[in-house]
Amino acid sequence: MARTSFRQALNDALRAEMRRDSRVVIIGEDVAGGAGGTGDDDAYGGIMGVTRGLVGEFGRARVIDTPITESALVGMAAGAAMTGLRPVAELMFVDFLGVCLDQILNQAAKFRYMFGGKARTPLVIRTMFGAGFNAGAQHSQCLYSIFTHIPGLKVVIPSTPYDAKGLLIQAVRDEDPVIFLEHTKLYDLEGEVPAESYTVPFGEATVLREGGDATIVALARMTHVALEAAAALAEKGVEVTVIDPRTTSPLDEETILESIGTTGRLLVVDESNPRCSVASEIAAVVAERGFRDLKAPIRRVTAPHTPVPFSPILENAYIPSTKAVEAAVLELMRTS
Amino acid sequence: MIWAVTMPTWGLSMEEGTVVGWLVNEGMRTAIGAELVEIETTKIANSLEAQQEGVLRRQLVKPGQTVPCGELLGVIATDETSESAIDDFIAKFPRPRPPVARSGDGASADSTLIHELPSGGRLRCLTMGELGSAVVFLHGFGGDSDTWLFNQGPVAERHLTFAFDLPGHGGSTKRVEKGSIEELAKSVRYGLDRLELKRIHLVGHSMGAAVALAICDEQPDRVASLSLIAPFAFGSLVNQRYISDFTSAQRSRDIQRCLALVFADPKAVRREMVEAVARYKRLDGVTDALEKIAASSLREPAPREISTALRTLMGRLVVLIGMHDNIVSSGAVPDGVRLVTLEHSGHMPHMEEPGQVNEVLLKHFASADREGALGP
Repeated sequence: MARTSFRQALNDALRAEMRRDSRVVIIGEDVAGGAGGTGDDDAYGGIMGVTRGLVGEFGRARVIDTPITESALVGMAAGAAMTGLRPVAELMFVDFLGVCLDQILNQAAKFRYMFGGKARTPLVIRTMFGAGFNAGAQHSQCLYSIFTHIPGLKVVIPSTPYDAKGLLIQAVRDEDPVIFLEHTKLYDLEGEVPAESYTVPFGEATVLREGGDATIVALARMTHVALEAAAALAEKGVEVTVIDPRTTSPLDEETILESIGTTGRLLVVDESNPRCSVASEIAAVVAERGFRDLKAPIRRVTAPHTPVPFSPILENAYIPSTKAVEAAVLELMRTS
Repeated sequence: MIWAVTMPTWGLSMEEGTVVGWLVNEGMRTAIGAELVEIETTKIANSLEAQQEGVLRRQLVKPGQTVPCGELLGVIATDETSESAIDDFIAKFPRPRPPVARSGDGASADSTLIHELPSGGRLRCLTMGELGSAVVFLHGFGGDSDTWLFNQGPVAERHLTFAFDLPGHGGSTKRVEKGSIEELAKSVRYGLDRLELKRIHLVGHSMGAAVALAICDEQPDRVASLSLIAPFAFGSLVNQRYISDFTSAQRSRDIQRCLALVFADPKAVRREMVEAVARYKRLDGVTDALEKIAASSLREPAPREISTALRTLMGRLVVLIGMHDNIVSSGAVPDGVRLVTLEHSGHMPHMEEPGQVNEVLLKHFASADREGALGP
């Protein structure tokens, strides 16, 4: 099977769905060639090059460059979804959520509910998130907990090229608004990806490693940090399970609780800020439903409650590290 | 006499395995076919059976250790062999080449073949080995050529082998017309023509056995011998609940539950096996193909009557069944046909007791080849 990058897996998914269904359109800033630019149409493909080559095959009517106004492009995509298209909008950085939150929170997320199920909003908003490129406090946040909090949205956070393709195809075929979050450091990650189209269901966690001593739940880039820590811990004789929920709404509580039933120890690793976060939510679920299985207090390793620093040294200190994860698991083993 | 016990290669993708535990203590006697050591791969856990009768004189790899395929795990020797002779044997034993080197030259005889079917879809076939008479493996409903991971390698040491992915399965096209047994058989026959295989030993598992029988009916002269494992044949019935649960299962949890029924010991089902099946089932077109195949091929009991073509093959037919099969009932195997029952197997004897199954198959092929050489 061919090895494909995370970026290419997303591109393959979009291309396959656009070929399959003429209602699928792409809307975003510079998703074609950069509106008004003079270069080759296909040269750019969005800030991370995910949509590169699509305008050449599908034309500007289906790969639509917009002015730099997130409120307009997300509103446009939501309206198009309500009236019969299946748009995939690109929000360059999730940090820009601030200027289009009403379109997402009060409009797209509410239509199906407020119109008694008669309105559907098959909309995907793809967006980049995460620290690690010294992009500063306004271009490095995670923010997925904000979307996860809103009923009516589905929230997808892939960690591998295989999952990226299958989850994006599922997102395009889904009848509800889906927020699809791509970690900035994962675009060049390579993995085995089938050439055929396939879907990965929402609300089903994947178990990346099995071990009986402790359970680590992590998302996106943090799954890789957790797996590195797990390998180091194995050399010290501590075997951990690593679970990637893949979607935070819906959240696969059962897989996490089943694992806690075996290990009795939970560590959540989360790159976002700790207050009211996905990490707090997972900790709450386990405290509520898995308390009897716990042998030690639940632990979280998260970013601190600060903006993402611009200084590379401070940014490195901000992002949860393999060492911090390893230390937290050893601490879990000691306190039980 | 001194014999090496080495890490086996179960399937094309296996590069290393982990010793879970030894089932025979150092200094204990072993018999041919006795379970020697439990091994875990990324795909499955299974035990390695002794190929010789003797005493297990050394255990060289400890439980928990992971070593490459071909690495010396232990030594079996006859009673009179001296300790120093064994030490000498170990010291001189060739180390396995690293996987990178192996895939360079050694694997030249193993490859994936893709044929374009007249209907437009792909037909994939995995080939191993380069000597001897041809053996063709046909998997069952929802499986693929990987189902032969414990068999194709050992058989390929003496035969040229081909494991097909039936239409709707594995790396073959997911488009089927009606999904009838005849349709599947026609695709395989097309593949055999393209490979210019005039005479073959045909091995079919479950629904693949029905496909094998359909090939016999059309082209009895092509079939040198027939081996049917847990066959959907001779009036047997398929567990309909399993078929509908497996066809509709999308989530790993449901797939795990289905697969646990297939094996006598549900613990044989590893997470990686569940994941591999989930990945197959998520592909576009698979559910539709499985529904069609189930509807047109598996709802009714398998035909009971023995065709004229099959009647000519009765002496070269062997049927292998697992004692604890939850999926396909054993049917009325005709009198005079050799029947082998595997005590510790469910629906997958070739994965659950591969040592015994391989031995039956190899002897079966050899005796058919001898008869063929003598001529009619």
